[in-house]
Amino acid sequence: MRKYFFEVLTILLYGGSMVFFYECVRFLAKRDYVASLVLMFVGLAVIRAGSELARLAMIERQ
Amino acid sequence: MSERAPRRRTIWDAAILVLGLNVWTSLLLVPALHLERRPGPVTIALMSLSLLTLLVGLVSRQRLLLLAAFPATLLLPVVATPTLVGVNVFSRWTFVLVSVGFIAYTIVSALLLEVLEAPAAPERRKRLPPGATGERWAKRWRIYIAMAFFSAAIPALLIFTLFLDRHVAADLARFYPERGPAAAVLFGVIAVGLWLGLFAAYFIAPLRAHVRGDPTTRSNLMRLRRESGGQRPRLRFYAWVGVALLLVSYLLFLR
Repeated sequence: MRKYFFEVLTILLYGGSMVFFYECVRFLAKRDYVASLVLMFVGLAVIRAGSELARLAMIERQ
Repeated sequence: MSERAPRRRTIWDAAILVLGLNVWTSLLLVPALHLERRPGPVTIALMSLSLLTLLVGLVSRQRLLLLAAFPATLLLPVVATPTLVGVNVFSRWTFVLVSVGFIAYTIVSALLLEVLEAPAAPERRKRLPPGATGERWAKRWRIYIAMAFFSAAIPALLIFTLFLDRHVAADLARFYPERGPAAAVLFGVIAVGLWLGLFAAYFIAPLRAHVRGDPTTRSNLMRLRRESGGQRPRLRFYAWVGVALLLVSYLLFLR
């Protein structure tokens, strides 16, 4: 059960980071560089958080 | 080995030759015949070189020539005459046909070379009972199939975008009015280089580790299991969530 919980959370976080990257590109197109930079770092932080949960899911699988 | 083996080998050689000729014809010969200006002697010489590589590779049954040199020499005439590939010559469907032909050539050649180089079959053999290979082996195969799919799909997508997307072609013509096709080829070479780097780092390296039993990943997993203790997220998880929340708050503050 924990395995599925961690896997679903990982997918959600990875998907969420994609949304942040998409928004980053959109702000870049509007020449709002500060906002796009901040959003890029948000996306990276969310990916890192997701990979921490992915590790846990992997340990649960083993 | 049975008496039918030499005949079978000839059929396999013929299969590799036909598939290679199909790629050569569809990628180089047909576009060359349909160009407004006929290609120069250098391009024709390079086209002949790629054909020669295929034939030599087939006669000598060299994996390096058939699977690396022949595909590489297919690109040389394109570099000499960039208009060989482009929106005016290739349509989406012909690109799909060429891609399928190339992938078929690569897969069939690799498989047949493997069979041709395999040692003679033993006189007796015992089959494993069904399910003896287990879920672990099935998982391995799923990973290999996924990697094979992505290693075909990613370069095809890169090439399609660069050479066949009308918007990209229009942008290239706008930014490089004199040398649109040459710019496309330059970006194509950069894309292929990038792809080869990614392929080496993220496909070949893990696959090699996987074939050897992946001791590094196993020891990493054991270390992670030790570190995870109560199987809760590590401190850095909360740190990254905190950073994300802080940055989002900052962004909202800026608005």
